[in-house]
Amino acid sequence: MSNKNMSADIYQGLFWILLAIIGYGVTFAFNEEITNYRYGAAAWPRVLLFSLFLLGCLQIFNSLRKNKLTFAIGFTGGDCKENTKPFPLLYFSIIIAYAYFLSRTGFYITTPAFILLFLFSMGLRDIKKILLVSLIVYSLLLLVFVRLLYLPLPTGSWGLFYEANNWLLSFIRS
Amino acid sequence: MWTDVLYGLVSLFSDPVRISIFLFGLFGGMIFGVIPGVSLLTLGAIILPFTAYLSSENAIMLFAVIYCSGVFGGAITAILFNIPGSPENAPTTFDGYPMTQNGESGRAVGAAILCSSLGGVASVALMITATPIIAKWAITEFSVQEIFSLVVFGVCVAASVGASSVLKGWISVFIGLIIATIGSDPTGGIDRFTFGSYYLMAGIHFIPVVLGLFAVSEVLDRVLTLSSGKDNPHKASMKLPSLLEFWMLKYAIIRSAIIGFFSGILPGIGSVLAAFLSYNEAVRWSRGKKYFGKGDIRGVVASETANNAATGAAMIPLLALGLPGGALTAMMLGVFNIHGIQTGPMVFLVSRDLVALTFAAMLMANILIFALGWVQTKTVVNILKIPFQYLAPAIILLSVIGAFSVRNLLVDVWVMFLAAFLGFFLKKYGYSAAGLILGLVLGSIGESSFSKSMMLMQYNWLGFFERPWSAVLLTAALFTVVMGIVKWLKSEFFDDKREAHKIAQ
Repeated sequence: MSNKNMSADIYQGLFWILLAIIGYGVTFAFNEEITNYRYGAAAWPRVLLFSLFLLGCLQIFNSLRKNKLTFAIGFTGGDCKENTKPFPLLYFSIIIAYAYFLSRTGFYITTPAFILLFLFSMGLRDIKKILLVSLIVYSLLLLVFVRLLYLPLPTGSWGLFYEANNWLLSFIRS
Repeated sequence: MWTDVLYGLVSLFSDPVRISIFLFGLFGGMIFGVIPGVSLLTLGAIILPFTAYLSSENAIMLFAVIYCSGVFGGAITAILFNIPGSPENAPTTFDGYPMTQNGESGRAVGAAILCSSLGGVASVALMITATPIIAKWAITEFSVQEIFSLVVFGVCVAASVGASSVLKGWISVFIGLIIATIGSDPTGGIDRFTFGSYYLMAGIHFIPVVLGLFAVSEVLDRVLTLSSGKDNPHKASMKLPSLLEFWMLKYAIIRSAIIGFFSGILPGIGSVLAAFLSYNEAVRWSRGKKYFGKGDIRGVVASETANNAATGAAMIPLLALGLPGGALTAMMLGVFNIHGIQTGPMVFLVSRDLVALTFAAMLMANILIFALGWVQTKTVVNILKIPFQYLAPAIILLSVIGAFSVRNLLVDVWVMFLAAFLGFFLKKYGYSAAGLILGLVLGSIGESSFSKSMMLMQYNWLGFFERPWSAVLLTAALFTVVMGIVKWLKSEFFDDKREAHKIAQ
């Protein structure tokens, strides 16, 4: 196991400990008595948070122990594969932007833009294929969920987009 | 119960809508099982919110059929392309793909189809026989103390599998348990961790979390690992084992079916671990161990029999005790909740038609695996030719629609994406998404049964050990924890030191 993995384990352990401490602090806000139940509302979450705290400590202890072993004799802890996948920042950004605009510009306008952008971000550059796939996916979704199942999807809140979404919705359901 | 199953079969085949739903589940599960990177859990997560539009019988039947066909679905691609369509088909690649390379793909495919079907049918038959017996026993012997003990046992088992280490498995489960405390407490209705938000007062809904962890994050992970270059697809064919070959494989089949069945019953294990356990045991108990990994048909048989045998067994704790055995049965619990049906032993009295239909549908689905296998070799493998980039946005949008449709709240879509974000890091750093989901589902059941137990036993903790089944379950839970600790200590301390000394010398 590399030093990078061990540091990651220490940071994760610290994160769990911090989460447990903050969570425990929040439990004082609802530490109320319940009639007929001695332990109250806060007991169960407190036990869980305390357990998480202990597990976080154990994770840090274990990682430090392995660090010590590594520095002592260059031991790398046996077969321990690193996951080197990068965080998919671009894809998550597109998704978060989609979720953000969904409530404002509505499902019917935002979704085709999302499909186009997502396909483009995955490296596809053939415009015809991108447009064709977008059209097929969008049409199938509208057919199944809007036309057949009458699912009420977001129509947005921004003036013009709200009007446009509702117009599209009436058109699809007509 | 078998009489009821006959009525269930009649009910299934006499309703064209029901047949359509059955076929949708059969082929849908198979297709999602085939596509690497997505699985029956993805399909289950996507259609979960939409089951509100179906009757309760059809909804549960749909999930049960998806379970059977989805577990089988990835077997053929595992054999032909070394790509397990679903995690439960991973051990199939160990010997299935080498068999393809040796020119024996037809034999491997035939064995996978036959053994999947046999394992599934045996499991369903045992399920039909055992579940009512367990349900009757549960009414008299199973109370809140036993439910709490079973939850503890389920949590202990779930924590010991699925993650890169036992420690991370425990952390994953505890995160799920903590998330389950958000909302109103089950005893006094007091708001916890809500921060004044009306949304959080209702708790974190389980469906958006499932969609995020199993659908969206899996799609993003798959998109990241898309490989360049083209495969040369092997020609797909099907050659069932001869009677003599089948007879020679009888011990492997029986052993794998038993391992799969008992793995499926225990909460937290499911068909994935059943397949791996069965493969390991096949290697351990078989003569000619050296052939495993080089194209031994017993490897294929072990994996595929066990993973399908786990499907019927997983329904037993769900139907008889109201506790999910794995991620998909946890989703089925969601379906029961959506339709206002209380799971547990009373379901056999109150919803007898639903149970009969589910048993009948699972029996038919496992028998029809023969037909599924043939169809798959002729058609579905061509789905793999569709670049995953085209499928990815469709799956994400289905998840968005699914999350939104739970309560018509965009906040659920945000929860889903947050869960996808969490799922990415869970997978990257070796935590268990399945453990988290089980913690989330079992958390509220556990707390509710614990508080009721305490009030009934007047806060006498030893009361759990005064009831025989509760004592057995808690002892088993303790044993699982101790074994996990021993295994962890051995791998972290003794094996490390031995390796370190070797290097130092």
